[in-house]
Amino acid sequence: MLAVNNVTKKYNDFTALENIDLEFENGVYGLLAPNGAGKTTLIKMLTTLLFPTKGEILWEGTDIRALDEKYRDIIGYLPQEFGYYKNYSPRQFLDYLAALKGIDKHDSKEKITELMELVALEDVFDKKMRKFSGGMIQRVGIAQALLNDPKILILDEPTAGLDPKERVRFRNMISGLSKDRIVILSTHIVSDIETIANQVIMFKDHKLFCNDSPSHICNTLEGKVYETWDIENVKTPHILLTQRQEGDNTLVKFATDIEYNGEARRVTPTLEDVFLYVYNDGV
Amino acid sequence: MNIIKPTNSEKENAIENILSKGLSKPDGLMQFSNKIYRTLGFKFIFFDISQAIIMAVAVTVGFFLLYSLSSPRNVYSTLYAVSPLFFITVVFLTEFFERNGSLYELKMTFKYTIQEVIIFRILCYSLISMVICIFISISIPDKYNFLRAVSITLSALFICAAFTIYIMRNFNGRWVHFTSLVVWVTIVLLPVLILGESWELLLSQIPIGITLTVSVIGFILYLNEIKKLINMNKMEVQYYVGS
Repeated sequence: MLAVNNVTKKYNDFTALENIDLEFENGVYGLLAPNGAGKTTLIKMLTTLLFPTKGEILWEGTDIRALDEKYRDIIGYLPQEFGYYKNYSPRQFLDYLAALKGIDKHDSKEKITELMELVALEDVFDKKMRKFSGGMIQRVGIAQALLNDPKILILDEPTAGLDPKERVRFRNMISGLSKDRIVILSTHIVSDIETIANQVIMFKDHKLFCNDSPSHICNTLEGKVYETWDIENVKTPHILLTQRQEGDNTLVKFATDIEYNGEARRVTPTLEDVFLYVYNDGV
Repeated sequence: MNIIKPTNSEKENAIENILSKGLSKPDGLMQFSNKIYRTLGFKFIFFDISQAIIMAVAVTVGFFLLYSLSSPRNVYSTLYAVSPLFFITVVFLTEFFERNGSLYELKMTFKYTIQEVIIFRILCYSLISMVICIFISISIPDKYNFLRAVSITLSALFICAAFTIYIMRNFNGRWVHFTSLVVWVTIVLLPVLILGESWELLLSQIPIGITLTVSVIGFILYLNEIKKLINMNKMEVQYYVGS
């Protein structure tokens, strides 16, 4: 189990995260918050790029800093901006990264072939990455994160640059991978985690706001979300969530803390509604 | 009931045995080098940094030619100025390319971090620089003293290397690798620039015993620094301050 115990991270006078307590077991964890909320700081602490100012991060009861390379040996990480060598093929590139991960040469060859098939890049295995699309590069990034068959897979904004079809394939792949490992997925795109995350972790004001299943989180807005064609006549204090154009009319979804009896239909809240409601001040 | 009590030496042996199993000993120089070389091999240790090495060689050769042609009589001060130049330039350039490369962050999360690879590279660069020092000391005309030349070049190299590693070990700013250039200018170039002919005179007349002693002390300092660098805890990638 991976445990984050009372962790605070400060950069001089600025507090990026404060008193965070989390526990991770096998499954998909979605870190959902707007940019600047502290997701990347937490991810960088989980990958040992940053160290907590206060508190500790434990893997199976031992501080990850003390575990050092033993901990790094069990993590797979895809950073937000994944760099690559343009003049090398995925085979050469992954060969190099596998060596840095301490994987035996013979094992790495087999593993690389297997991963190239998993991310559907087997056809361009020996092509230079110079001409790869953003989505293809991102898939190479996912493959490198899986090279050492990590027990903890940490993905920072992994769907950036992927087209809708690739996003669906990515989600299916992550669901499959999470059966025997911890997958921590940071994103501000709700649909990335809505269907695949077992737990959703949200930060607000640099503190932990909630850590619960998507359905429980959606339940917190139960009875507060409505849809109407006539938003101008809604006089109750409300927060606009989304709007959808249908013909000449606009269907507006809004949330209100007071029960609304006007011309509007009560709807089941989605994770996106909760996201927009919680981070209303920043939207 | 008769219980046979262990002697003090048996107790100490037992404690030592338990500790040796429970504690991981810090890596020695050979152990570290062997581990990195066996795992990565030269191919991956020097992966994609040929550009930095070629640039360092060009700078060293260019500086040597310029300096020796402009003052052909100042042999010892030329040797003193040039000998650490390859080491300084190659360390600076490879660090610069690594730290500003888009893969730096990722490579710091691997079992063998790029920090460890850089340490092994530094070891290799210092060995190559030692060979360069010996080679240029052999190649000077017979009228100059080989022992004096080799001890001067090695002194400059080891002192620069020790200071560079000391700074790398103790400071973690984004631009820390630039300090290797500052070290070279301060330790090597300033005496040449300030003292001019007097510096050449001093280097050509100082007893060889002193230059040899300085080179040995420099070597010991360098070894100590590199050992400390090997066993240093992984550094935080500090400049990632933001979201």
